[in-house]
Amino acid sequence: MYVGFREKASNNSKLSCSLPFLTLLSFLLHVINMILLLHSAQYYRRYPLTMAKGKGCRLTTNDGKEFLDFVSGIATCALGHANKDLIEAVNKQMQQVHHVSNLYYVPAQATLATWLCENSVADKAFFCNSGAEANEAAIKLARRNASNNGITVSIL
Amino acid sequence: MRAASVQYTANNFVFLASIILSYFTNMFQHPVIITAHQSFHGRTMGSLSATAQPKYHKGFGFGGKMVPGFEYVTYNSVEELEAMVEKIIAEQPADGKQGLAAIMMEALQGEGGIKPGNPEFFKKARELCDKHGALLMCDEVQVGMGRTGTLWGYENLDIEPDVFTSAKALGGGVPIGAMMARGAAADVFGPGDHASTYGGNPLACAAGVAVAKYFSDHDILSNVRARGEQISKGLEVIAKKYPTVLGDIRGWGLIKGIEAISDDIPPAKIVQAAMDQGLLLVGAGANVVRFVPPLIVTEAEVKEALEKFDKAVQSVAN
Repeated sequence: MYVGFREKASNNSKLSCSLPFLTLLSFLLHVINMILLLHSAQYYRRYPLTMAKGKGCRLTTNDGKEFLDFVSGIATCALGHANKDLIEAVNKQMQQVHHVSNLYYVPAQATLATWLCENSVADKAFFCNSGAEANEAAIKLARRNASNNGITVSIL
Repeated sequence: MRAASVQYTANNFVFLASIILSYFTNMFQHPVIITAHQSFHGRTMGSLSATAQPKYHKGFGFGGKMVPGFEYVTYNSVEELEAMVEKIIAEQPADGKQGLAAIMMEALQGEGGIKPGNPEFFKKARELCDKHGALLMCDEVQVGMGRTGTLWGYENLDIEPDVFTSAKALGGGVPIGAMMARGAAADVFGPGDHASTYGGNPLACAAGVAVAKYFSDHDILSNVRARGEQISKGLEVIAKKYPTVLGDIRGWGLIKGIEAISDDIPPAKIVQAAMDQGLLLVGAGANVVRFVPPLIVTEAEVKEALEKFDKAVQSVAN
């Protein structure tokens, strides 16, 4: 049986006796909560804009203001917003299969790795989800390389 | 009893052998990675420790220290880089050999204030890495995938890195990152050495392939160079109009920064003024306003952005 908070509180005579005190307490808790919420919101200092739509180099807010976007999600949306080819590719992949883990072969991964290697000095690609993770992988690789270095040289 | 004693002797021998081996070879227990002051490599503990900006380290240390094994030098300072490598080799700790594992640098410092790398500096880094069996690693997260007018930032620096990293534009806004390795560096990791559950999943890679295909089918790099030139020229004209507000213009291709030189008009104020004109910009470092539009931006859009920027600067300058 579900019992609502109000019903429970009003049934408790002890609590109702100290109602002014409780009101004050709940007000104080509310203030503290607001302060805590304010702090959690400050992970990012956001502009008071809500982007609702994008097309090419333009973004439109939920209240209809239009902006020329020279930020592109911090140098990320290379093809701008709502690029037809990107939409089609992601939609199609979503309908086929979108995630299987690296326990199995992923053809799109091989295709992208091949393109990247053919168009750079690299020979192999390791994929992750962000720049921080890519750099983390590079740091680990440098350490492992240093740890391996010279181990094949027979001294003894 | 006898077997245990043999085992004990064998263990001692292996330990001794590893110490001798490490002494005579390059194997070391203290692999130092050199990065640059004002760099930005990420917010995870390792990449944050590589990021040489005290403001991002504050309150994240253990006994005041970040992840050990990073040394910092001034970006583009050949002298400091050489001196640091010498120091790393010279100062040997008592509990194991120390050596240079890598030099890790952004081809152009983005968050540090749009500072392009100097080819002389990167050539010296390449030379030092070759000499010490270390890896030259370029962080291409912001500048890779065409942003600078070449596909990779290192192409502007006349060097070939052993490792480079990409993300951001790689998926055109769909989250994906990549670590690319060349030659022997590509064979360092074997199965099980590193992994990512989501890494390179079909969805993210489909986005990556779509971006790659777009690059192959369109001459996007020519557009980046032409529009980048247009932004630079336009900004030079505007900077001359407001010499007390705007200063140096830096960057390659479509990653351009302009210095805000007046203490009364910091980058945030200019960014806000631009927003009021309908143009979105973002700061970089302490005193730079950054222009990083989509790589498909048109001539008309750049012209419009420059007009809006001019009006924005005018509104804060008066």
